Amino acid sequence: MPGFASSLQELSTSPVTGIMKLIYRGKEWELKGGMTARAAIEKIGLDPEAVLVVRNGQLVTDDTLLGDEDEVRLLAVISGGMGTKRCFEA
Amino acid sequence: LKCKRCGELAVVNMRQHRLGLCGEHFLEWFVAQAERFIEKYDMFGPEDRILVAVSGGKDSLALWDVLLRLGQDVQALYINLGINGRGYSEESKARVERFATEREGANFRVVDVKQTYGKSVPELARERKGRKVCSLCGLVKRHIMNRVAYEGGFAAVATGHNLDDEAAVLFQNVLHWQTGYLARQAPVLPSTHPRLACKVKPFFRFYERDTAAYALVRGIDYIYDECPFAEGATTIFYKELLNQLETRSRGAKQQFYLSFLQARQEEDLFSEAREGLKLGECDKCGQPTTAPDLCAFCRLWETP
Repeated sequence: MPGFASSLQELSTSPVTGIMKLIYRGKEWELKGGMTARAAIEKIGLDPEAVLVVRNGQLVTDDTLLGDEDEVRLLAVISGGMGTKRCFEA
Repeated sequence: LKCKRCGELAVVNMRQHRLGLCGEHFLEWFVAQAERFIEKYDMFGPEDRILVAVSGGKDSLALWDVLLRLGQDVQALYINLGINGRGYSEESKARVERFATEREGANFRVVDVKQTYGKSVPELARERKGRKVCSLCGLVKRHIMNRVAYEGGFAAVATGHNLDDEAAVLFQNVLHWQTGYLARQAPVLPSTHPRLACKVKPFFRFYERDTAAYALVRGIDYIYDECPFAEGATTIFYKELLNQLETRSRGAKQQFYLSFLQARQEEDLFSEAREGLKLGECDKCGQPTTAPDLCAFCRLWETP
């Protein structure tokens, strides 16, 4: 999504100049560094509650400030369990 | 964020508990909490033999890992559903095998649906048009879990359902005011028939993101992609809605589900719906059923 990614770069107001890469389910975004992981997640339209943040291979909390050249993978945490219907109903 | 125990950098932030922990203390906390839930909700004793149902996903592999770390006598059951889309069943089975080879005492048994009953779940679903694959798959899995638990003399079947699973099902049941399900949805389903295994959910108070974090920090290689049939499933949509609520209001999911359990118990809600269920035995397989002749599982294999 190059158009979307370039508009995201423009949205960043941080003075930090590096470009970090955000990866989620095979898609990539390039954002300016200097924002928290939570802000980055929200910028690409995801719910911070629904992803874990792995920065350069390490799990981090979403208040982590993302810097120049960081590679950030967002892992979806939702899976579709069928839940708890009773076993042996007709 | 700093770890509340040691002051090092936290890797998880559990807002619902106002608790940030580093990797080491998170793993410690997680296992201790699971142990506490097992005891508090009287799921099973330390000497009991437990059958843990594993899918290759994060929750069930994390549960297997925790039970092994607690020293529980545990055997895993992997049900091969024969879902070939994106190689789902083979990939998930490979994760289970890998988990077992990397851990001492991790034993598992495989039940292959096609080999055992003649058709895979997708083949069965194609014949039973109009029936949702997920509901059919759930029925097949529950039947097999109960059969294996009964034949093997296990004290309980443990599944990796987390709080998000439970809250999504509760949300669905409330939307449809399904009082029968609201009466029975619980972290422990005791055996109410000699051939009905007790079912327990030791992770029912963990948020899904926390079980995922546990799997990640423990280095558990789980199947990340969703089952191809689950894409767009209603349960996933409800989870997304509840997560939006959680983002706005910390602890909302937890409060929704735990307050429901508490209110139901204290105010004896839905007790009439709970009492109406009489279990007989299936004429064909002998498993418990509310049907007068064949259970829902055996009816599946009859000519459509």
